[in-house]
Amino acid sequence: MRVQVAHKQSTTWLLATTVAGACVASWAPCVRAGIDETTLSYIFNFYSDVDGVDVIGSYVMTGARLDNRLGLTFQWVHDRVMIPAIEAPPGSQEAADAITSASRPIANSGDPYQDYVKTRNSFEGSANYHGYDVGYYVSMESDYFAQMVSLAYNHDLHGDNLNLAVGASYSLDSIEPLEDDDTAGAPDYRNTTYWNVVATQVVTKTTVVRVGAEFNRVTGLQHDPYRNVYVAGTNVPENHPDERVRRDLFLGLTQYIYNRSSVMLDYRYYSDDWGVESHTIGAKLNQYVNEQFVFRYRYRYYSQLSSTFYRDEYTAPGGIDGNQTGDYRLGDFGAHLFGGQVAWHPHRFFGFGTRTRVTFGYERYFNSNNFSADVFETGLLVAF
Amino acid sequence: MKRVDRIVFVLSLVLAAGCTSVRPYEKEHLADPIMVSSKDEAMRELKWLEAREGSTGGAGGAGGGCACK
Repeated sequence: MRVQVAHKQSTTWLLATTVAGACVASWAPCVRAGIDETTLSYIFNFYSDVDGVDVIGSYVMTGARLDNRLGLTFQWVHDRVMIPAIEAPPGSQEAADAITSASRPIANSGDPYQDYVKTRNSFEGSANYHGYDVGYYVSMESDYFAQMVSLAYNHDLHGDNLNLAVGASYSLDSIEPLEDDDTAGAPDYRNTTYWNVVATQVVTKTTVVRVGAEFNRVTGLQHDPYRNVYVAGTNVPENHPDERVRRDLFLGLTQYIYNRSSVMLDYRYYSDDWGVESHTIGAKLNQYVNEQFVFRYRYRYYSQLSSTFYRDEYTAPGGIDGNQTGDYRLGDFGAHLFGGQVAWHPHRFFGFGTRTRVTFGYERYFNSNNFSADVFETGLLVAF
Repeated sequence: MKRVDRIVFVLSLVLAAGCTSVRPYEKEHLADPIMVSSKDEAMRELKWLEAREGSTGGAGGAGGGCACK
């Protein structure tokens, strides 16, 4: 049975192109809403999946409040992505079906037999003044350059029991695909307009509820220029629509429990005009073991419906209204994620020194397409 | 979608109404670090989940503080 190229996940391209999108989508980390103290932190993140793709990420973050009103944050991220070599001649059926062929550039006969490595650096800064946040983000890699500007405002109401926040951002991405033997990616662009509104309400002395809505409009190149899909028995480059309107609604509830633990429950509904629709539920349990250690356990379930133009294989040229993709991210599937983290506060052990936190975490992700991944993360935060 | 919209709209109205008034000295538990999700952590997670799924969002929001001052 032939294994479709399209079923394999994109690797470096997806990681590269979604970074800016994720920054836009989640917004909050890009423009943090208020800095209570001066902190410096480092995070080491290691991602490894069943297809042999490894990503090593390093994050350096700092934040400072210069006076009672003005706060500044800065973040540098360095990612190193490694995609394994293919094990068959380029262009052969075995190579076409190999995991790397769909998502890495292959420019000569020797190249496919070597691991493909790329790096990405991003810088991000924000200023927070009197409830207003202004941010700038830039990301650089060999075939992708992204910039984003953002603006947000939040305000406390009802005796600081309700916080209302609105935000917007605009990103401009420049894409220059590398030379690839079986696709022909020309320079292109991708722009994203984003806004959100979030309400956070203290319900009781131990309960907080959060409700939010987000909207994205993405224009420009939205498929992986290194990916192919089977059309009438041959491999041809994928093609996605050049516009996508994405929206999501999310709810969250955090409840303190009197044995020094808390439960966080959340739900997200997502839909877009490509026909993708998804539901996500999550739960986290945080528990103090003693003054020094906090354990966290979490579970997340994700369920997605297919886009209107996704197919395993197209029987005739032309796709669906000119669009064609075998990218499983646009198909039906479900996914589970389990994980745990331990946080150690050494200053509580020694009884003196600056506030310090050391974390170790592990998560396992798997989905109904027989894909799985492991994510390890460790970090150090120092507050001055 | 419309049903979810309505649910969120109603919940928003309830929230906006400020149905309770918890005083500052009653917010000890709300201010505990275990009551706050890390937005940076959510961002890092969304970064790789977006590369594996067709959806996005839900990781945070502009501002949206913990309302626990």
